Amino acid sequence: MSEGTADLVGTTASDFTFTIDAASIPQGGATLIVTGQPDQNLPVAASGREVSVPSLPQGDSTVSLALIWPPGDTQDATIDVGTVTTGAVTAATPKHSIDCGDTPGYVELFGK
Amino acid sequence: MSATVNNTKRTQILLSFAVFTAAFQAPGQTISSVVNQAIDFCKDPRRDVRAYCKDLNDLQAAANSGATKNTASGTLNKLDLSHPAATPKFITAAADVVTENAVSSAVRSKAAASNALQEAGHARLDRQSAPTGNGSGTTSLVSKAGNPELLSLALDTGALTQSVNGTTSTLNTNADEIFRLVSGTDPDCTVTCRNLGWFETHVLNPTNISASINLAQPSTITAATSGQASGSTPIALESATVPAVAGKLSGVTTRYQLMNRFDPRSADFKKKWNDAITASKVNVAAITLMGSTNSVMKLLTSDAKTFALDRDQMIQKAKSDPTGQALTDFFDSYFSNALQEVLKDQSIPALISQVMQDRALYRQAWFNALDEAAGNLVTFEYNYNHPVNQPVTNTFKLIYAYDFGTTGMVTFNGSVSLYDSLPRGAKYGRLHYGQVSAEYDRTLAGRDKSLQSQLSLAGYWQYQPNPSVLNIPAGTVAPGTTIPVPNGTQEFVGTAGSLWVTQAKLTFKGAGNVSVPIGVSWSNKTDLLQGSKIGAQFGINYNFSSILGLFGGSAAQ
Repeated sequence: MSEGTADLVGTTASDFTFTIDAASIPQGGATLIVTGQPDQNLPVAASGREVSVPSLPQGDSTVSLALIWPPGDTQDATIDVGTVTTGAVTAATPKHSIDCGDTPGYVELFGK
Repeated sequence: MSATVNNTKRTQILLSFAVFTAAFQAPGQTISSVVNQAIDFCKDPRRDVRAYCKDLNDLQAAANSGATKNTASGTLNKLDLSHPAATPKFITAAADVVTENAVSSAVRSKAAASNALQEAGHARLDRQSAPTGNGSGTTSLVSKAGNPELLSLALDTGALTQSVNGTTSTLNTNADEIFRLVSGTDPDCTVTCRNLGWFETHVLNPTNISASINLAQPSTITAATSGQASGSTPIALESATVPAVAGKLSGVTTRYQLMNRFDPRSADFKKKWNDAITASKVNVAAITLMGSTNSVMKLLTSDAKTFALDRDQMIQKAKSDPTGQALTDFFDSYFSNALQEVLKDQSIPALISQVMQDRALYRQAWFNALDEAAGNLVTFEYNYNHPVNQPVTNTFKLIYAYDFGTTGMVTFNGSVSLYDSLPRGAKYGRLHYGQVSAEYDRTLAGRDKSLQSQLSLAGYWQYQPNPSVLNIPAGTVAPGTTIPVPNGTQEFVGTAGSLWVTQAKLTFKGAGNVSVPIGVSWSNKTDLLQGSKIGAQFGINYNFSSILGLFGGSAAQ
């Protein structure tokens, strides 16, 4: 993984949220994975489509999402930046997506 | 609304919304879908290409539209085993490889998944495994709307509407599950399951079949004799009756379930779906699946770092051949080489096995939620019934069930029974009887435990215009005489009119998919005899979970 292939790139320690526009994430269904560190549960908004990252780790990290795809969904879930509280975070161009039906889904982060 | 639907009815429901969504998909909504129709990698014989076909289709479409490795980086991530996004489909492809290579862990994983599914469905109130009301050995007065997912065997003793107490063995199965078992197709999908054929969707999937053997009715055949074997007094016997089989087929039942149509975009359905997600624990299953998949992902992305996808080559191959052949060949080579190396990690097969089990549980929970949200419209049942010394009948039944959730379920039956044929000079009509019945079921204790108890209270009313008909076989000696009836005959026995039956039943569901129903019943009469009757019924039912293990030569875990 690298800055060039990550779904979201931002300054290290940024406090932000990211969103998906399909499927839903249950409470407890978002986990931040950083190599060499314990996994960390991330807060999920009531909408089920927004996840808070309190501090973007340096370098590569991954958020796994326990996605539940409702009947009738045919579109992939586009990954985008939600609210940036501190720091700067941008989504890949063009925006990356998670394939419809994939469970779990993965969002790749890069902190620089 | 109702959870009375067998889980195997999923594709029937999915077809409903697939048709709906197809009708409402905006033109040009996905560019790749247009390309997908021309280059369908999902039908490629190579399992890795099939597993990643959606992303390969997307990449080829992007390349055909002039994409670069930077603009297609999101799609390339999903094909690059060193990226987490490639993990879910890697597991799909790798599980198949392990199975085909006869490594037993994959077979065990499927068997284990099947076992877990059966355990998950054990608490359902809508399962029908015993023969119903008119059998000579049954514990079920009312037919339920659902069936076992794969195969169940029921052994029941005690009659409800019949005068003759018997013991029957009943084998239940779903036609589609058997088809998948025999054909080796085992779709690993939920919302994307839209490619099953018409026959499987409309005929096999909603159809369940059961056969009942009356174990207390040995059959005989007449065989020619070849001479007297002992005795000093010559006895001229040309033939003798010899036992043929210990049991006899007493009935065959086919059932067809019809689901409610629904609009997946309506606010009403969305609310039901959201409620069903929690009720069916889809969220729990999704989080569990995420945990086990993450374990594979961590190992895979670590192991496969040295096998990072050559993105320049991928784009170059895609651009060199718009049909996609060069792209799929290159990806297949990359994946195969990487897989061989990854599988050297001894821990990978066990982790994949766990993911497959968790996927199956998630899938089961997902379809349970869909059943719950959509609801069962009605189940049709046809029963070919061959009772002891009575004419063959055909019974047509409608079954409807309503689930009140934790407060229980009510099931309604309505049926007519017709004589299969009328002999010459019959003094009765084709109609044997009509009946309506209802049953209330509720889990009493142990809903989330391995030992559960379920209470069932049932009422049954049957009306028949004529008394029951008893077959008198040829050669039967009339009582009090030595005169045999030469050609056989039929006699009316019992009475016409109403037959009432009530039953209270406790079913104990234990670990290992075994359930034991114990019932007591009262009826104002039985089919052949007048006068009220108090009876008891007992059964042992078993849902087979390890059938895949049996076929694969490996026991379930």
